[in-house]
Amino acid sequence: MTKAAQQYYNFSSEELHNLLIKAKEGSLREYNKISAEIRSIAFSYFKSKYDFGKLNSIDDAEDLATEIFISFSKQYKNIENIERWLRRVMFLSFVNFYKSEKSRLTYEYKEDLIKESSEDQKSSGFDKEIVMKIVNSLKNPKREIIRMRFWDGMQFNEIAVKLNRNEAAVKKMFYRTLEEIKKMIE
Amino acid sequence: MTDEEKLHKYSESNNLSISELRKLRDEIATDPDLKETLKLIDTLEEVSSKNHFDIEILSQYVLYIKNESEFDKNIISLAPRIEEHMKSCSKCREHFNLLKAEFEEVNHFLKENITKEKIAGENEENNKSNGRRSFFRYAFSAAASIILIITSLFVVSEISRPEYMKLTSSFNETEVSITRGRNSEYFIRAVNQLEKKNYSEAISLLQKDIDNSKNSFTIFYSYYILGIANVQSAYNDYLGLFENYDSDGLKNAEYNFSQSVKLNDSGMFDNVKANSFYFLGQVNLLQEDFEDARKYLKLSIEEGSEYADEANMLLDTIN
Repeated sequence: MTKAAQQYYNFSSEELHNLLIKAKEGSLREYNKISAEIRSIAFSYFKSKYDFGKLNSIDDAEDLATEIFISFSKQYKNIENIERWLRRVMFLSFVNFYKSEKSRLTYEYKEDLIKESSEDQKSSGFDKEIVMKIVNSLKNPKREIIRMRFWDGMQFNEIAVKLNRNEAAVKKMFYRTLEEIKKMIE
Repeated sequence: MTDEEKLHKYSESNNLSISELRKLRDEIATDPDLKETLKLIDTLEEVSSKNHFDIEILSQYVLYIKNESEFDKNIISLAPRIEEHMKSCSKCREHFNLLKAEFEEVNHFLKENITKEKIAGENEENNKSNGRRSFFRYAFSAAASIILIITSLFVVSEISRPEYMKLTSSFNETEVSITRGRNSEYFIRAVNQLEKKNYSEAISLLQKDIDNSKNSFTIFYSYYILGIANVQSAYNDYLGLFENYDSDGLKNAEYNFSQSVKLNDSGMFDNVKANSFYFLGQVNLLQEDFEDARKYLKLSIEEGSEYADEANMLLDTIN
């Protein structure tokens, strides 16, 4: 069994708060101590993310912990409540990482498409204006399905309820419409 | 999986881990026609993106509704629009639920690690060095005796334990951290409890999740995780030795994995189905039903379960 090695710390809020106050007053020793602890706490959290497959590598956990450490160094003089600060910064750092990781993957994918398309002497991507014109020229319910799916962010079962059709029929029509758009682009 | 299902799975990629997304992307890349369709989906996603709230705005909104003192103050005026939009937009609602769960996770971690009061004893060693030498002498003899007893027990336990028992105690903990679209409060709370290894609490929450969302598209995943929790909860040992499994727990696990297979019929989550077959094989093996165990383990290999290597090892022990 893979162990999710989440290390637990024995820190009281008061202890961290006192360290923060002394660091803010200019004590280098206390500053070093609290910075190291902040980094360890952050690393332990991101390590558990890695253990549970939410981060690709332990290096990502290291990088995120370092990011928290750097933010702390920049902001510690303005921090009032260290727990609240950590909660916000750890949350936002992970969300930003996740977002950039997903877009990197999509970017890599698009890069592959562009590379292969140019090798095949084909266009590297679809023209947005042309796609929009085609979507607007579609007849209902095809246009409605495309709009509800992309512009309204609806799931197929929700679209099915709105159009009073069954979900499988909506899905089928959606993919057929995509094929139709592709042919019209060609 | 059909082409449509592959595309559908890709466009619902919020439920997938980065590695699952990568695998699916590679699969799609082998078919030129599918790639073109995906290119069109990407274009449509891009032109419609202005209609949705960015993940950064939604994370600030999470901070706002969680009463955090620091968040982007523009959210206050945006909040009614976000709330109105989420009533009809599943995409943004799903992002919001994922972010909220993420926030809860950080919050929970910090609460566990930064306690109200420091637990006494950890930093007091320097003050207690006097009078320890004689204590250590006796402690050493006692520890040596305990080690000898445990080693003997270990030998007896290893001899008396069937080979497959040694191989059945594994599951990848990533399993419980990917939601596959299940964002219900009960499910998220159950996952938190599982991560803390509070199996009975997790089982009760998953049962509530199932009772509350019987018709949900992704309810098979709650059955699947419930099956894993049942197996973990059924496990007993004595000081890590004489491992055994409670038979009622195994029966429950078998039922829940079977339900997961039955309800996972969209073709979008075949990897979870293949894993369910592996666990069904494991659970049958632990109940000494070798015929069914063999059947399910073989199925898990045929269906490309990520536990195919483990399934092969288990098959070797019973063939």
